[in-house]
Amino acid sequence: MNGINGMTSRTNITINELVELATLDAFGLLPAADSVKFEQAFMTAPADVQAEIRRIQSDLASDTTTLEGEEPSEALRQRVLDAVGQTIEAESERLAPLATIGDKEANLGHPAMMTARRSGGMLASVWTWRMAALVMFGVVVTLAVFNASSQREASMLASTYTTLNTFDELESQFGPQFTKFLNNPNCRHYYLVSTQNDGMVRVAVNELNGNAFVLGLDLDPQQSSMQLRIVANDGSFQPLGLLQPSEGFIGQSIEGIDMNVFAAANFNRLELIDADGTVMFTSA
Amino acid sequence: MDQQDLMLMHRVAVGDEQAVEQLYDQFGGLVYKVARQLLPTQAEAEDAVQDIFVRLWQTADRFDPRRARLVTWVMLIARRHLIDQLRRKAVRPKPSLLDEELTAERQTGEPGLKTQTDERNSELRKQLARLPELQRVVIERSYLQGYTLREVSQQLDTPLGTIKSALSRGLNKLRDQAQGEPNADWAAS
Repeated sequence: MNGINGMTSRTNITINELVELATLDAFGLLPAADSVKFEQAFMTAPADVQAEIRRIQSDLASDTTTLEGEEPSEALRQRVLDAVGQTIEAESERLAPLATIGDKEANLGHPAMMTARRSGGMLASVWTWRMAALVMFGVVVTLAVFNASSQREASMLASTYTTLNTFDELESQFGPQFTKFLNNPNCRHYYLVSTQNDGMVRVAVNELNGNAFVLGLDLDPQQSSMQLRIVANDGSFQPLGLLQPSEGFIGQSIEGIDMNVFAAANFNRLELIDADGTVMFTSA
Repeated sequence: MDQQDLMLMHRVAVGDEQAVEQLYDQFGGLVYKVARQLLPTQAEAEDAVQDIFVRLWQTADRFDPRRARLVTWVMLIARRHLIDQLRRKAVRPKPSLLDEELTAERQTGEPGLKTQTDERNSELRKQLARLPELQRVVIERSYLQGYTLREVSQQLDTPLGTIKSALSRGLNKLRDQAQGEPNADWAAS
C-alpha cells in the first residue's frame, strides 16, 4: 500500500491490521466484534489513511474479474423497481396513522404536511416520516453520547454502537429488536465494563414496560451463562435474568422487570456474575 | 462524486423513484453477478437482488461518504444479504465431508471445489486453484459456503487470527491475480 504505514493515531491497531479488517468488511465477512474495532480504528485514523482505506474497499467492491455470466434481464429491473415501490407504499401506509397525532391544525400547517397533502402521493408522506425518523435518531445519538461522557470507561461502547455503519452490522447480527431498543426514547441505557478487560455490555431498559435488551460484544468466546442483577447501596441484590453468550456475543431480551427497583433511592449498580458468583461486568 | 452519491442516497431514502432507478442502473448488474456467483439458481439470485434493493432503500439514510464510497456500501449490503442467505439455507456440507474433501485434495494435489462452485464459476475456480491451500480453503468455506470464520477456525483447527489473515490475503490475491498485477506489499504472505 502506498503512502501509509505504521500505526493509526489514537488506536493500537496497525495499518496492516486495518487493511485486513477493511478487506473482510468489503466482502461482508467481518464479524460484529471486529466491525466495532474496525469502525473505531477507521474513525480515528489520519485522513490520508481513511482515503486509502476507502479506495481499497472500493476497488475490492467493484472488482468484476472473477464474476461471470450474463447481465440481468429487463424484467428483473422492473420487478425490483416494483418491489421497492410497493415497500415504500406499505411503509407509508403503516406510518400514516401517526399523522393524526397532535394538533391537527398545526400539523396541516407544517410545510412537510402541506407538501404531503398537496401531492396526495406516498412519496411525500414517506419523506415526512423518514425525516421525522432521522431527527428522532439524531436525538438518540446525542443522548447516547451525553451518557457516554458521564461514564468515561464505557465511552467507546457508546460511540461505536451508534456509528451508523456499525449499526447495520449489529442489526443484522441481533435483529430488529436492537434497533427498537436503541431508538426508543423511553429506554434508559446502562453501560457495563468488564472486570476482566474482556468485552463490553450495554443494557437498554424500557422504563414504561420493564422490558430490556442486553447487548454484549467482544466477550470471551468461552464465557458461559451469566446472571444480570441489580445491586442496592447496602449490597443486597435482585436477579433480573439469565444471559447466554454465544461466540462472544450477547443479544438477548429480558421481559417484565420491576422498574421500581431501578427507581428506588438505594439503587447502586447493575452487575453480571458468572456461575461462580464472580462479578464479570459492572456499571459502577 | 461523493457528494453526488450522497445526494443520490438522500433521494433514494425519501422514496424518489428516479433515484431508485438510477441506483439500480448503476449497481444492478454488479449485484446480480455476485448473486449468481454465490447462489445456485437464477431464480434465487433474482429474488436476492430484489431483497437487496429493498434493503438498500431501508438503509439509504445511513450511507456516509466519509466512511465508504457508494459501491462499497452497496456491495456490503448485498454480500451480507447473500452470505446470510447461504447460512440460512442449511445445505452446507457437513464438517466430516469437508474433512474428506480436504484430505482427497492433499492426496491428489487437485482442488476439490465440488462443494459449491460449479460451471458458473470457471474463472473463479481457476483463480482459487492458484492460491495457497489455506487461503483457498478459507475463501471457499467462508465466502462461498457461508461458514462463519469461527466455524472455519474450528474445522481447520487453526487460530481465528490466522484464518482472518488468510482470508484477507486470499481475497486480495484473487483480485491481483485476475488483474495480472503484483501483490501489494501488505498482502504478501
